[in-house]
Amino acid sequence: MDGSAEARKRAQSIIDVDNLSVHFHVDEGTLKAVDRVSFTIAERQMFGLIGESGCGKTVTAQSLMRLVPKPGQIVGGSINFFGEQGGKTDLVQLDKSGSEIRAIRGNEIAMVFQEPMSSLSPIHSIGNQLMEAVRLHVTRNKREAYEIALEMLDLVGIPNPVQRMGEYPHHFSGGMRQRVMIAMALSCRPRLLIADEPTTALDVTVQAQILDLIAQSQAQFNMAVLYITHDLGIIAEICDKVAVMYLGQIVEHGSVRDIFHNPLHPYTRRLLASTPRIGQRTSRLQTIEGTVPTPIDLPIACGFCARCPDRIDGTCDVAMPALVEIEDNHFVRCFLHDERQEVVL
Amino acid sequence: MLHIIVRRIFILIPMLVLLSMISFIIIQLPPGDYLSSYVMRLESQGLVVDEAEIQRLEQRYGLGQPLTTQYFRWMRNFIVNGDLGRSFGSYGSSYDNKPVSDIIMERLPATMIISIVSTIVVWAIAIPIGIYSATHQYSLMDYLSIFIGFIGLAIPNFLFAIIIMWIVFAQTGHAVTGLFSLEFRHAPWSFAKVIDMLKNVWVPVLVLATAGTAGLIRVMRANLLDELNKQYVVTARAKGLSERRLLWKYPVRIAFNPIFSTIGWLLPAMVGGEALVSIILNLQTIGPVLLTAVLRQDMYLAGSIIMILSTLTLIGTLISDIALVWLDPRIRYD
Repeated sequence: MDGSAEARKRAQSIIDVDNLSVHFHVDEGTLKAVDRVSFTIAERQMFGLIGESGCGKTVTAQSLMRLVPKPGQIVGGSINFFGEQGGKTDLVQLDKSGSEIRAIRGNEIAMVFQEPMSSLSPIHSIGNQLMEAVRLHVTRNKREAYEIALEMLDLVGIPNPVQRMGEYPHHFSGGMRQRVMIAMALSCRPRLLIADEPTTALDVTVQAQILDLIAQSQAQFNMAVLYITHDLGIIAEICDKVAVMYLGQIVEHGSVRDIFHNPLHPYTRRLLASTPRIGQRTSRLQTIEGTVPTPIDLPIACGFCARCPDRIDGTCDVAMPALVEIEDNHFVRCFLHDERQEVVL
Repeated sequence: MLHIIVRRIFILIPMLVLLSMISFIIIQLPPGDYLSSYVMRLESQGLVVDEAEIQRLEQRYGLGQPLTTQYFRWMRNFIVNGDLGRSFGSYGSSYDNKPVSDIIMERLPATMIISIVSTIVVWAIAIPIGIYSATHQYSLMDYLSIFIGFIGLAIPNFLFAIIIMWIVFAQTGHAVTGLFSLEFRHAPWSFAKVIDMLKNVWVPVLVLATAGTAGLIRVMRANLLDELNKQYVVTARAKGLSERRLLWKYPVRIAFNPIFSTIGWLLPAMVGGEALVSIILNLQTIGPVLLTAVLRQDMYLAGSIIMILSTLTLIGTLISDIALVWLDPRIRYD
């Protein structure tokens, strides 16, 4: 395969999120969990989504599967999912419990969750839960489904899969359960895997194993991965592209190389600075002052301006910066780099 | 599994022995004994008591002998002959000094019919409503079921029974007294008698079911609401399972477990019946007999009923435990 064909192939996108907004109507007002978020994931790409707790990463991921919990609602934007044959479907337009989205869920887009301890039903056997998606999407034949499930357990490195099929989640450790969840997600050979902080609840040693497993499976199954984390190290290790989220918005977006070597947004810079590095002795760990505000009825201003040491008074606190392509494929939302405003309705 | 059941049954045996002892102690607690009060009652009626009869009864129950001997005789008579002793009292005119086992057996069918039917009604109504309420939380129907449920829970059963009797009588002229109309009360079983029973049985069933339904709706709703927000439900949804299928397979199934764990309590309730409602509706169930027996210090009768109810509680608990082991793989009793 020559270079240009390879590039064309890589550029073929699998999912295109455009101006996605998800609001939660709560008693205190409207919580803008996801605020006009746009990004595109190419086939076979490892796409990282990074941000602090509560910045909207998980809700973004849930939106892609139309699994946003009540009282959340997708209020705007589109999520175009490109089928293998080239057709595209706007997932936002689908009925969230209808048959069309259900044909995609677990089949073309699969998800691994943060909490392996509660992600599996405690009273159904591992085999039962593993075979369920296979029987729904791949084969109705029970025998075949069993063989596929067995193969998957073996693939994710669970020893003794035949015996393990009949066991229950409480017989498994956290790491093993997460392997089961990955086996389950991979069982229908999805084209996009969403991994929502899959290693956060695990021991550090187990984290590395699970991360390796996801990276391996990505190569083996030729799938795209949306990897959600708050751990910069993981992003640096496995991702191709990364989007930094803050307060429901993407504040910086680019290749991993750009983000790590040339961070432009003050938030990204602080985030990188607050990661301890081996070999560098510092008396204090750098932190970002303040806390993330709750995104309810916020004034029109840059979301980070209250915590930003580089803010321009009279600019950052009265208008919303637009997400602008500063370098080739490197987007940033900050008045320090471009004075263009975003029109907020 | 079998191992657990066998072991639990073996544990049951000493428990049952202990229960029979406690029941016997209850029988012996009031001053005097069966025979002296029997003799006293006959004498007060001016009758001459046959010495031979007294001797025979004394022999039979081991009266006058140490308590332990009496206990063993009571137990032996029960195990060998199914004889639990005799009642002192007269219930109406028909129960005068009848054997306790006869009194209980006479009333058992009616008690069980009412209890089983009302239990089925409670489950059939409460569980679907509970599931609907939980899956449509804060909807109009949810609030409505809570409202009606609380009314059902708040109205005392006996009051509700009186009100229904009055309404039925005022509207149709049919007096609901007991499980059968007068002409069928002592008639042998026939198709007409069954029809007649159906005409009457709905009143106690309705009264008993309203309270039970309200409670069970609340339990089912609360259990299911807990489960609906669990991560495994999202996992199932993320597989592409339809809402209906995932609802029944996962959260509903798991929300049932605490309800199944109380299934054993139904067994004594089925035999015990509801005393107050039975008295008002003139139902020939065991509940009112126990109440009267306790009031009259009719201790063989009261003690025996207590023993039977306690035994059923133990067996019911065993059934619940076995059901839970079978339903929930996390539970193991070893």
